[in-house]
Amino acid sequence: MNKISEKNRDTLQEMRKGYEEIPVPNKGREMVEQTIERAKRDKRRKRKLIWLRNTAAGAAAAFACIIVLANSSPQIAHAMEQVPVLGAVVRAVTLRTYEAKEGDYEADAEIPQIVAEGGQGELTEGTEEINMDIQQFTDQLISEFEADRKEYTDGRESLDISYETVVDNERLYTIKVWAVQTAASGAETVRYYTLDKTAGRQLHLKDLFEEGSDYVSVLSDLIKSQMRAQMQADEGKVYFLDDEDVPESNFEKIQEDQNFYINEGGHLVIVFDEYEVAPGYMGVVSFEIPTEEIAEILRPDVGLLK
Amino acid sequence: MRKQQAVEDAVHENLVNNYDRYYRLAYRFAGNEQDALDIVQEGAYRAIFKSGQLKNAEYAGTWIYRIIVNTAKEFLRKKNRETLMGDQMPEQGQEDTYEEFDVNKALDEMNPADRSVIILHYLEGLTLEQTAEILNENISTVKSRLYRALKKLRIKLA
Repeated sequence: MNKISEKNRDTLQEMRKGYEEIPVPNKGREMVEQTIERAKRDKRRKRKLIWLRNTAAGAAAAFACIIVLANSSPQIAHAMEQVPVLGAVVRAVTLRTYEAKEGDYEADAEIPQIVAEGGQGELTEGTEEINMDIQQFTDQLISEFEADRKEYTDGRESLDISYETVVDNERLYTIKVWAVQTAASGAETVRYYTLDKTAGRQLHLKDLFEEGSDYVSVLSDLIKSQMRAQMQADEGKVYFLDDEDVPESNFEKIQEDQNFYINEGGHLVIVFDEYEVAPGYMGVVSFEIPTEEIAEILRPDVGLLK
Repeated sequence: MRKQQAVEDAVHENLVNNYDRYYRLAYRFAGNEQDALDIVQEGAYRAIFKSGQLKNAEYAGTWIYRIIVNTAKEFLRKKNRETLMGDQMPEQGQEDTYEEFDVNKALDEMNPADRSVIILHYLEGLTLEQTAEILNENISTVKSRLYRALKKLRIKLA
């Protein structure tokens, strides 16, 4: 492309000269500062708006936590273990805590493990796998926190890790482990781990589908249409989708082992971390998948979805 | 998190420091002052508002170019629709105060995709890699657009 003849080089130079001589009005420079401030305000206001909208749900969640705590007191847990159930009794207990406070660096982490008792054996295979996964996830977060603390001595950062049981029925046990990292702004990361009590194994997303089926594309397309419908119905909802300005962050497809759980209604729920498919103010987002939409590729023998 | 603020700061800084470049880019698409001003304002707003989606502050500069180009293209599409619906002649670039060359007219008549390549690569002086990055296309597409566009401008390769 750089082999342009002398004469034509002049033409380009004239074009360039004409371009550089385009007069730039001063008022534009002044206006742009105002526009920047307006955009920053709107960005923060939107964040706050969504946060306020979510607080009603937040209050309910806090209430649910109290019940969970009451249930997990030693006496009640003991009583529960006495109740004859089909599968094993699975519980989550705090394996260790990590607390750190140094200047503006603060960490408060409760790292759980799950234990299974009674029922058909000890379910060691599944619980061990899950416990190792939990450990890996939390170790990673803690080492990032430690690294930041050493690197930015004048910074501020906090890390909170917590957990709760989200599903516990005859067949499945799901623990949710989530972390909130806060520096200039916060980021929430969440992992769901599901134990299939009957099989004694950790349930992975691929286990639900026929081998060789393209569940990644099927689920991704369903999620995209839910995203589009939500954005159309509610201006406040924004997902990274079909955005020409930031095509590299557009949602393309889920991971093969995308976060998921099966809710009490027997529906598959796909979960994304904060920032994974939507701006930060949307927080952690999840999509419930209608079972009839994926019936064709479901493994018939698993029978977990309704 | 920490990065997020850095990205917003970088976008802000670029918008202010390189305002003239973004304005000229918009002007080359719009052809008149008022529309060019509007395109940059709209682009600046979008860039700040969406800055949370940009992963790396280093890309802020090229990223804003992309937003200005997208905003300008949208603006032209909208204007074309309005012209078609209103059955009016498009407003002509309200008396430009600098001398226009024929080659510039040829540039104005080009489709926005080809025009973007000429403006970014030859007028803004960005590399082919940067141009491709801004337009979210691969380099070979950019090269063939450039070749086609040069032909339309009757600039022959030696």
